[in-house]
Amino acid sequence: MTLNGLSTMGGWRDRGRILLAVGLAVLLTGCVATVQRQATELRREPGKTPTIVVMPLDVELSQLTAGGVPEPQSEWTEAALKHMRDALEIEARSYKVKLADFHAERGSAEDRQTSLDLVKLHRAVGGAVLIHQYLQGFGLPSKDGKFDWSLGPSVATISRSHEADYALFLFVRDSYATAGRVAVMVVAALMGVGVQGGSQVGFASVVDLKTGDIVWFNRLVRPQGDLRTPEAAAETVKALISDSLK
Amino acid sequence: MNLDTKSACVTLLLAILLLSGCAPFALVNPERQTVGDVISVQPGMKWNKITQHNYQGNVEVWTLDGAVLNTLLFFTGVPDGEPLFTRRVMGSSQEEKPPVFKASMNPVEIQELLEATIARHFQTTLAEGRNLKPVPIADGKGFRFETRMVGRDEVERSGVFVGTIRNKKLYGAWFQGAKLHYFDRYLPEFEGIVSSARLVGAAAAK
Amino acid sequence: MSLTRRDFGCAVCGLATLAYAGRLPGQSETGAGFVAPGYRPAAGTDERGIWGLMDREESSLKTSRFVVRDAELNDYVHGIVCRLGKDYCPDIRGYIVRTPYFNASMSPNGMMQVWTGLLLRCVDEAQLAAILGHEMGHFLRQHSIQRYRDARDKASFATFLGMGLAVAGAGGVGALVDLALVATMFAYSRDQEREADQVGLELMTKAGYAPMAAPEVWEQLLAESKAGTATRSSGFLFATHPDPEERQSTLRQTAAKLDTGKAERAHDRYLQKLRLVRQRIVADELALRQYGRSELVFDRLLAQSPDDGLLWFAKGEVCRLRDGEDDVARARAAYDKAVAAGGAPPEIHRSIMMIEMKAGARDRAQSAFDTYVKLKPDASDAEILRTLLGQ
Repeated sequence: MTLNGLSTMGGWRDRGRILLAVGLAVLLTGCVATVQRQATELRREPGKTPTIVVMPLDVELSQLTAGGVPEPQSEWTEAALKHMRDALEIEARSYKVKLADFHAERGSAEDRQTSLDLVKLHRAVGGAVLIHQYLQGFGLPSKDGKFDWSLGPSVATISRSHEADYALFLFVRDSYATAGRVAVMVVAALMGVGVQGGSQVGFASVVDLKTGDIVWFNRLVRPQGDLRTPEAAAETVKALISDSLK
Repeated sequence: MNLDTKSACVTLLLAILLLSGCAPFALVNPERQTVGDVISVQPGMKWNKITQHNYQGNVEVWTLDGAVLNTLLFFTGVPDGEPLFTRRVMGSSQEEKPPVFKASMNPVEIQELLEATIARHFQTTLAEGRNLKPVPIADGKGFRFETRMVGRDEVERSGVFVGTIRNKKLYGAWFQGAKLHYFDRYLPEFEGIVSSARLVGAAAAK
Repeated sequence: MSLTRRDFGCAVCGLATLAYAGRLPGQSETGAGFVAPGYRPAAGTDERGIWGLMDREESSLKTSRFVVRDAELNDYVHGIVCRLGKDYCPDIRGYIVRTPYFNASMSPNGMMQVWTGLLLRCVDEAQLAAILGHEMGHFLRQHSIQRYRDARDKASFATFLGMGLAVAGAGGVGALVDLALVATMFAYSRDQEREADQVGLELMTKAGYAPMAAPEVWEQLLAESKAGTATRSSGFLFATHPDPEERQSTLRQTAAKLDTGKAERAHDRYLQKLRLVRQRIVADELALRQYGRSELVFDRLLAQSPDDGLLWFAKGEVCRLRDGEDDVARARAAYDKAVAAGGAPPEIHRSIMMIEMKAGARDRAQSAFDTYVKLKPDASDAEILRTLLGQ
């Protein structure tokens, strides 16, 4: 099944998802700083509050049954999405930024397709960042340690349709159980559903909608963490986005 | 097939290593160099050569931002009767034979061959070549066409293939990148590499 | 009929037993109950979790590039579903996925997928109805949840079940799952397949379709699997459906009993509705470069539609691409029939040019080129073709 699950991927080209999960799940790291940034603070023009569009939160919660089966928990996931959104609002207020929700249906037909394509692209780029910036030995020598990842200038589509300066992407796979099985955890994370071993894996990225550059990126991998209650979700959100909204 | 968890673990980790394009990337400096002993090129910037990849055949693979985002595949002499490349896909029971290159092929057939190769190896029906044109390549006659494909990750990728048949072998290069940003940004660099290309060694022998 | 990755998710989906206890609005002839129309799983149940996951997968499916959005074709398929399933029409949402293999599936939340490789291989509407009816059989009898419940508590299975869930969300839309082993683990049981066959036949017959179409589909698939080397698709298909010959003969016996000889096939309407996608799905089949299998499929379709220019073109392409002994002559013969019948795309003349050049027939190649550029004045490859002629 393991083999099969992997072989369904179109291999090279489905590495987006694979890289994402490998990067998330394989705890080979150690010394790499989790927060990576191109810019240290958001651009703030005098008299204007930066607007950040919150991209569709890519979150799945699951519960491990006694037999070790991760059962997706729809109601937990739906509640978590709400708690996270609320927590983001609180963070936004404390950093004095404005949040806007992403509406896929905005703009012309071409704009809509571009926005969708950007979300798909971000997943691929996120996966590449997790592998090449966080995994020891997988760095790209041509980059020379520099963090330069981008979605490119087409982000102007989102900037226009939402009148926003930045976009925030969050990805979390969270499971609740005590049993830990590394191989299964990795594969499940590979597939993006439920992470065995009762842990939390995720990442957050902030994209500058003027340039498309990822100006802030953080990876989160930890055995604790909860998204099922408002308070716990707020803590997770803080851990994810840290001071990115500064 | 063995369902044992332990062997699944081992296979899985192996699979991760293989599929993730594997650890080593070797730095490629912006200086004249020979790829596969047959294609001499001069890149204008630093690249990363993927030293462990799952493409099989007469190819060398470079990338700038990671293989999901862009790749440059050099075809270093595909012989008559061989596929352009094949890929090791973990656990796949690929008993179907791949389509192969024939030295008698014309450029239209090569374009069709790359389309079929992409469709097969990236498991997509959305792969096409267009704008096939004759161009000079490496001091001789060659051809060029654009590619477009959507992978299973729903990311659309643009590409350009340039190639030539010499001494019954196919030499060429195929640059592919995500349509948004990663292809456009580096297309000029690829064009530069192509115009610098010369065939050397066994490829240049008469 | 076959299991897709979405069925894997379904196979591990939990669904409660019928929502409305004591009320069985639909029922099989065998007395077995159907899920109630408009059924929704109760909050807090495991199946509610699975439905949520399936709903989220469906929203990705909705934006996938691999889904065929042709409105007329989608309305047509939906119309067949409603004709078969009446009360269940609003519960089922069909998606046509551009994958060149034979497959169809249904998830417990009502999401149905049909792969274009299946549309290519069906000869008429009755055959398509047979498959949709079979899938609806699994859905109405809630086989996925039974399978999940059977499997859930087995310790050795648990580890892999998680991956099954994962597979449901992975690999992208319409990806073909490879390993027969996995397929076997998540396959419906033989009893369930028989039940789905039974229900499918009942639905078809009640809707006025010819029941003999059902065993025909299996016979066609069996013939195809024998035609070439083993394929990913057939290995997978027959792993999930063991003893295909036995099933096919059971289907034939049951269908023969139900057959009145008067029921509908709708061959012409089927081809008419498919006309906008046929060129694409033919091209997808050709790109697989499995010449023996493709030739068998096109020959079979040509037997039903001997004046179909697109099919003759397809047959010619198989020969041209295979490029074996005598293939030039075979291709030429097929292209001639295509041109005479009409309906082939302008690219046929480019193909004719190429085989005539192989045959050394310069004048014929030139004439084909002239026709090609006349029919397609903006052909971007005109220049290179001219170069080839000039050599």
